[in-house]
Amino acid sequence: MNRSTRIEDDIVALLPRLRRFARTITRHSSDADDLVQAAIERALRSTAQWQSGTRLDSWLFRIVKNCWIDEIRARTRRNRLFAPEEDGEQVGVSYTQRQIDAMAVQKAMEQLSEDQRMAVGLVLIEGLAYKEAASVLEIPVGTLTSRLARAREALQAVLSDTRQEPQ
Amino acid sequence: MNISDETLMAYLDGELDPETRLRVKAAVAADPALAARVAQQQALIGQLRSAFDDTLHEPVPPRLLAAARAETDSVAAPPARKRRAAALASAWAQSWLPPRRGAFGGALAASLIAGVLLGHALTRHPPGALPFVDGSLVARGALAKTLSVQLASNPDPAAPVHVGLSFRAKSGDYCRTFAVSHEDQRPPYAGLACKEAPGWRIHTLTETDRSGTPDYRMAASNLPAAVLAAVDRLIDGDPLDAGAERAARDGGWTP
Repeated sequence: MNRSTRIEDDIVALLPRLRRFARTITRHSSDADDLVQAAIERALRSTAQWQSGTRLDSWLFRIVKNCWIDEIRARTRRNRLFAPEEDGEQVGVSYTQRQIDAMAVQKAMEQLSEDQRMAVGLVLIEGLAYKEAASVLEIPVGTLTSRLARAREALQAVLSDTRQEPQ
Repeated sequence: MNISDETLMAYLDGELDPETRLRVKAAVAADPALAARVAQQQALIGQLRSAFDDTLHEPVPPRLLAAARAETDSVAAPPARKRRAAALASAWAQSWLPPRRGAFGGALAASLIAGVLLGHALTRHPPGALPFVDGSLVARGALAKTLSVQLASNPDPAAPVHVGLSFRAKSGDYCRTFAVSHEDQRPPYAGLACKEAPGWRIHTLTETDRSGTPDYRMAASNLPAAVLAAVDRLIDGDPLDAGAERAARDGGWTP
């Protein structure tokens, strides 16, 4: 098949990771899929900018990042950076321990700055190398590692209370 | 060996060269306090990954798959008619987004698409039903009237136009999905319109599958993908319920 078709198939294969990354950087999971959709649409309009042979995942992560920054700016203009609170409204639902742990992590992530969340999402969760993550975020490696260090410290402080013993 | 926080972090993230890595590993083995810090950090990473890994195993929402597949509609060997229509409608919707996002397609492409769809619409619909007002497509005639007065909770099965979901858009405007069917062989179509200054502005318009119609109340699952995608993109919160729909209509759909 032609080049466009291969890119499209590769994007489809990366959708689960794009969604995971979007969930790590948006405060609300309801925003995450909107963000991924906006990023895919933007990516498909600019496939010419992707250089064959470079990492497609990094390119897409960068587009997700840029779309999110645009969204934050737009929301700031509209004075609604924070979506309505969702957690805690689902009274009467029972959660598994795993879900409770996940919610604690989400809450801890909410304490981080946008920049720190992106660093955590790319390095600690997506497993990108520093160099790759720094290039996605378009920042020097030193800036990335200092964001990561502060984020780790903050997460550790919030989560050490709730953490279960490692199995 | 004194291990800085920075080195320890690089060790955990697999960023050290093999030699340094071995030195740190030996130091960790020899120092219980250091080993405890490593274990704590590893537990943190494990906790983070486990919190987000579920996303990897969830089914990907169809709208994202559709978005990722959209491009081949224009380049692959002959696409299904319905998919081409959906892609057109989606491009059409894109062309009506605020300028900040509309820049990608370029004015020429947008006007071309608008021309194609408009020509398409005018050959099928009574003249004057879908005119341009100030560069936008605005509903008139039966479509405009139905959008203004009909309640989805109180449908008229004999009417050619049916309203589906009503909702508040992020812009604050009220928007409604609609479906138009015909007695004859002309294909039905569906779309999304928002009540804005010039009237009911059409954001999305797409042909629908005749066989796939018509539960006229159009639960969200019955909406064509392109219309659903437009709803997803614009909606702020949940669709209006019957009471809110009536209140909005009685208020003239003014925010």
